[in-house]
Amino acid sequence: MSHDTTFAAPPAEAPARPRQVGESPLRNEDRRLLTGEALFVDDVHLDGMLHAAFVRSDYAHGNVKSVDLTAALEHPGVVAAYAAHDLGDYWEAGPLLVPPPPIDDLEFHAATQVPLAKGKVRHVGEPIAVVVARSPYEAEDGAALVEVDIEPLDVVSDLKGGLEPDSPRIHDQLESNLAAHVIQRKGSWEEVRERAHRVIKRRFWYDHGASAPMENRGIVANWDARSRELTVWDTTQAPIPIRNGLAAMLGLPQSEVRVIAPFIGGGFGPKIMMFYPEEVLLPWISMRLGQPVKWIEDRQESFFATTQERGQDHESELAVDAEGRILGVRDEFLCDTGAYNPYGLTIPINTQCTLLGPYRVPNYHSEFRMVFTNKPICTPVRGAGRQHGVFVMERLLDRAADELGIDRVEIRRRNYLTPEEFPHDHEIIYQDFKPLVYDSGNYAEAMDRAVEMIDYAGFESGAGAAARSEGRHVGLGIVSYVEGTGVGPYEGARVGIEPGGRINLVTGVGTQGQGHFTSFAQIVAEQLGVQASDVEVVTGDTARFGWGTGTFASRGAVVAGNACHAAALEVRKKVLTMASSVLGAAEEDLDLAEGVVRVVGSGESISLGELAALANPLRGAVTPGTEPGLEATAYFGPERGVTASGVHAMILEVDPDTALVRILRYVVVHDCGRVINPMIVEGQIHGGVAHGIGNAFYEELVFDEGAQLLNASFMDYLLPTATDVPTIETDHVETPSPLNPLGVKGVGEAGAIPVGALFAQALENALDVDGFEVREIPLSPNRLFELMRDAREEG
Amino acid sequence: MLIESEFTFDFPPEVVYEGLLDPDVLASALPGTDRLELVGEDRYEGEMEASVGPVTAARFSVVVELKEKVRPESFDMHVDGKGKAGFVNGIARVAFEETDGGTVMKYRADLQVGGRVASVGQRLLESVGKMMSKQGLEAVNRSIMERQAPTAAVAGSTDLEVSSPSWPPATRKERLRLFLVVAILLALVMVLLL
Amino acid sequence: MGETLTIRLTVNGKAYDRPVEPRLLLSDFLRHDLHLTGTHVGCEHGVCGACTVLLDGEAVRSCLVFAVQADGAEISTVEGLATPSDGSGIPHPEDADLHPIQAAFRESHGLQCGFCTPGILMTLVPFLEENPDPDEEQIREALSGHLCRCTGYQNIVTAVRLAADRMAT
Repeated sequence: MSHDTTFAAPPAEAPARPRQVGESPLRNEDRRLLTGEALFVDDVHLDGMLHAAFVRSDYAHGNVKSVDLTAALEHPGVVAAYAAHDLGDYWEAGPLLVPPPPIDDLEFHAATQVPLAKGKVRHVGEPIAVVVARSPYEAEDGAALVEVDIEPLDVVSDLKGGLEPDSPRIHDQLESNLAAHVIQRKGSWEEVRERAHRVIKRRFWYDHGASAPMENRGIVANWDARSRELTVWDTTQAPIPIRNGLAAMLGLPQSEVRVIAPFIGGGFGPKIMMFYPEEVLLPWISMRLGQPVKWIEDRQESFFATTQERGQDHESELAVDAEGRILGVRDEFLCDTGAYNPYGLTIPINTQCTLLGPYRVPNYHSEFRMVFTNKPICTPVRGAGRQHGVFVMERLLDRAADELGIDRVEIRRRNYLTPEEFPHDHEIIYQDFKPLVYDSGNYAEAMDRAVEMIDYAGFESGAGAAARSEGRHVGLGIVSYVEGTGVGPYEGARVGIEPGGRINLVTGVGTQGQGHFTSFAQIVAEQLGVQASDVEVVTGDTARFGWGTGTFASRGAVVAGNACHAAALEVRKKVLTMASSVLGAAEEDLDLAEGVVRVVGSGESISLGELAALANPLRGAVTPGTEPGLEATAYFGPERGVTASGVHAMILEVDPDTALVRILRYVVVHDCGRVINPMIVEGQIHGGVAHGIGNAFYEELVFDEGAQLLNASFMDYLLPTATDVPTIETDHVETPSPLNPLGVKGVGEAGAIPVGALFAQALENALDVDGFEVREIPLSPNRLFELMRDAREEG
Repeated sequence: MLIESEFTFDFPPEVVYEGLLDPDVLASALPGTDRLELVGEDRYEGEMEASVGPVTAARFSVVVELKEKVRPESFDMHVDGKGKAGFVNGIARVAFEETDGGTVMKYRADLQVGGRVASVGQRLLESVGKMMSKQGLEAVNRSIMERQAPTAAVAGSTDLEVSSPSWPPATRKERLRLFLVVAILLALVMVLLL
Repeated sequence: MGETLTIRLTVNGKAYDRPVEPRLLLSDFLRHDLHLTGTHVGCEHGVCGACTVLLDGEAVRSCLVFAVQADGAEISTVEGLATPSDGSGIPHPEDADLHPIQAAFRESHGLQCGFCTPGILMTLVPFLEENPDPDEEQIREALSGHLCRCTGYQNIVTAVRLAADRMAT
């Protein structure tokens, strides 16, 4: 062993501790993904595996008169078929995932989704029956033979109409279609409105869209009666809560249920929704039939069966003084929760809170009504209601700037919170049930950098003017936003060193492409003096780690990342304590680098692997009270969420004849605190911006008045392609968060949040037509054309 | 979905009106119609199955009720069609006016379309519907002609004949084509009803 | 299973002889009959491109091809891309067995969740053979038949350019 110094190398200078956090090592997960070896849920193949297909409602609202499974059951290959009444006591409405936060006088009415429709269907695509067969083809053949008789009912498709007293009622047990009514106040809007220099008033519509990850949802459930283990592969962002819930529903101990979220092909929010009907049914079917069962959603199905996010109708007012300083904001909005509201108030509260942005808003009156409609269920999609709030505030500021003759960058600067004002308490409640208190930020600096990068000053006089003199319609937009990220409650991680030196890191969160196999490895590698590639990361397998909540609200790096950090610190402590004893040197004299502990100034050393072997002896006595191994588990629960922020700027060109838009430049200056891996952070921003561009100009879920979705395919629901998304230039401002040891803030959703507001401003700047104002998102070439035409006709 | 159009028959309104109420005339206009029966006063029930290209589509059941009949000027047709790939229901207002020995039929159908046919076929439905309506009504016109002059009967209505090779039923993931079929099929349903 | 036909084809150089239903899609045949699950299915209607494979050297969407249509064909999938090489030009020795396009994707962070990646790689193989020195517009045009929700395409474009440079030397 090398702590025997006889053959040791001569004493070396202690190498500088290698930095891992802040570097961009290549990703550990990529090889498996690039070679086709990575396991996704649909890649799971088990002997004797059956396949399920769902019969779904064609009607948005109706009474289910009968469901006849006879013909399906007689079809060759069909093994079983179930409707609601076959589920017996197992049929139960899903849990309310997010109960309402403690806000005074809040009104909330829960109605959660059911496994299979019983009595009534409430949205198109709601599952009515499930058919199980030997092959997926046969399962779909069987599903087509299920006879469903539905008596159509009048449909609730719009928000205002849904609240009318004579509206059809979606949930008979409730008095109306009102799902929630919430008011949050700060100061006195009424008072500042009276004394304001000017009050801007507008109505806005902001719609969101489908998450559209490239992988649809899927589940494989396998009950093995002999080993008494239910294994469920699930495309979920939250494997541990799924495990806990399934165990409770099925009456199994948690130790007999294992949920694995393997490689997941993108999530963007809806994969954290629980419980989807398919998630509840597949395990039950497997237990009933004693065979593994698989269900893989198809793309068309996903437009109804996977949750989505939709529109909000805002009536908003901004009161400013003569210098453009914000005196107060009043915002009242309606928001759509679809047929059920399992996700509680997360989306509208995000809207309500994020609207305040990076600004000092002394008086605020925010009121929303959430409405049940006969449309698919709404839960958060990348941004989760934050876009809507940012759009309202940025649009109001643009109007104030116009009316007061103040430059649009200047009006924002005048209202930014300054670094000295943190922590800043907005005196309202956030989605994590805590007061909305911003931890840190430097908004003016981000704006300065963006102004410089996009050459704001030079645009009007230089490039912009030149283009315009050639008759081109070129415009610049620049907007700010904040994003509450990294909310609690907690995540955990276990770090261990194997004899032989391999380092294992296990955490409970699922991962959907964010690079956790690398960024978490970097955090651990930094503490243990190794490379990120030396750390084997396992995520999303409840048999490996059973405590945690899930990947949402841009919280992976913040909450799980800090848990990894805490566990790595504990292992580091164990390593140094043990090395100190083995090497006979004080801990202060030890250096841990390249997987080896060295005594500074002497040649003595021992590798991590050797220490791990010593820590787990096969014979001999150990000191009472000690633990074997070099392993530690730690948890991190933040006191409250951390606030990331940024500025986006773009230059675009509009063809006034075709209303096609070309983005010429796109700049992002972002502050997500300390950056763990710049390459990954930039990738997250690129993807977010692309998603935002889709939301702003391409993607719209189009429903008719009967709540039928009219564009449920990628032929009609347009995701941005490589020719639609520009090169994105990025820069970072780093204001480390004081709320966690790593100083990090979340970044996963940020890129998507301000894009609608940015498009709106840049389009107005490009067209410069009197009366042309963008008060809605998404746009499209068609819609933009109409807006331009209307403005010209009015003008 | 609104479908609004008109069609000129070669016969006076009385003849057209009576012809359109005859299930045999309607059925003859469309291949794939197994059954179209008058089952009660002004109530028709039918079953149909249409094929386009290599795909045989699912069966559709159709119930039609005629209301507000003002012979030979107008009627309202309440339509309820259901199939595996969706449904169509709504009201079509049909009016007839005499013109130069013929009849201009104006129709305005306000239809709710649901299921797959709405979610994927919507953008095709309106134009295909209009085209197919025209073809179907031409077939009806011929059918009436046959009734008027049985000796000059032309067998079938070749315009609408579509190839139907014995391909297996729509495959699981061949939906794209199925959607097209269903879109056209629904248009045919409307034609049938008109 | 209904009536079947026997097809013979090679996939990544290996010969297969299998009975298939006429309605079985090539994507399902590769994934579920041959267990070559690297080819992914994202939309089943030929838009997203995730299921792209090479059929006799040409990039096709395997969700739009019936397995019977591939009778007698040579198919290449993502599983066949990596081959032990001398690693020349690839700075990361652990990636020496990867195809230069694969290695460039890793180096440029051209993938996040990785679900769409195999199809994109298979499109790029013939694209770079035919366009060894593509400019950004050509690259974006080549990628425009693929949907990626994670990357915003930017790093994919970078990866393609990097791969072209590597393959030229």
